[in-house]
Amino acid sequence: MNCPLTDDSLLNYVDGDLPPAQTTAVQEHLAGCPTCRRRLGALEQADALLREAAREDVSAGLLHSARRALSDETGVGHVSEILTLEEAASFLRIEPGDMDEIAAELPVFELAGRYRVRRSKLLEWVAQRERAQTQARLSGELSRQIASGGA
Amino acid sequence: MRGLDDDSLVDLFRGGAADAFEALFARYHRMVFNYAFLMTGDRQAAEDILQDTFIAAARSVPRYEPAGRFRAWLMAICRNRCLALLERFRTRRRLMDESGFELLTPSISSVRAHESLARREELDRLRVHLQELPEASRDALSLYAFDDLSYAEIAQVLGCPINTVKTLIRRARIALAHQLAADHEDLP
Repeated sequence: MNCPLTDDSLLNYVDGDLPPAQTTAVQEHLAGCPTCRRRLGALEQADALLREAAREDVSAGLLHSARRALSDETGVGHVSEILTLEEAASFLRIEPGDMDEIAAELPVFELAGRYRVRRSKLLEWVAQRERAQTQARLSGELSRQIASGGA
Repeated sequence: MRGLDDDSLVDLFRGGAADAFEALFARYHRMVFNYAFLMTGDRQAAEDILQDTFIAAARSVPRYEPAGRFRAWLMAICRNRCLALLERFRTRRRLMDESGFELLTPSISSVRAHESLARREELDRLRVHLQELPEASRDALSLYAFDDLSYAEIAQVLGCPINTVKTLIRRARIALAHQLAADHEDLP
């Protein structure tokens, strides 16, 4: 082949990596050279087919079995740190409907379209609430003692 | 969750949210499957590798260091499986050649019903040509096929410098184009 265009030049042309003057020279050569037009076509076809081959769909059957195998791997025997609000209600042994009020006091976040809370944050909230209740009870008792002592 | 980056999902998964890993699976299963399919040229093998890769990744998550490289890390796990399988293929081929038995043809066919027969044949031919390339060229080209992957990420997966990756990919693209051009010359 006597063409001055190397494969590398053609590839640079395809990738848009040539300076303007060389781009024009390649275009002028291509206009008069059917062989190089075919070479250019093959390079472009290789890229296009490759990109298309990389977009093959995964069959629904395979997706299902892969997801099941993965959930067996990631789910079994795992104590979840991140709870949905329903799981949090069950954890606190309250009705799910009563969670709304409590959720307002918790660092709740959204994940996969559902509100969730970290188990550790829930435990902190429970501990804080118990401390507050104890303080309230002690302060009530103190007030009563002061009141009765003063009587 | 769509807005969360890979490392945040890994973090959630480490914290116990199993569905965070499911989100990573949803994000990358196609890339893993297609890379394995391009590398091995065998649909069935790619299906097995897809499953193995994600299970291995889930087990290895404690060793993953979050640095925005989850995708490259995952693809490297997939690549190790592809290379091991190709080695098994080579051993089997050698043994079969020695015994005189014929090997089963890999299941390369595309399953996309909406494509024309001619297009499917072109894609099947591409897969055959990929298998004819040297393994290092095919490896680089199989990663280059994904628009999303940068040269830097491909270099991370392959464990070699970016300039080596660029050279490998250029040579492989030219070799593949020569094969496709030869196909056209052979056509009646």
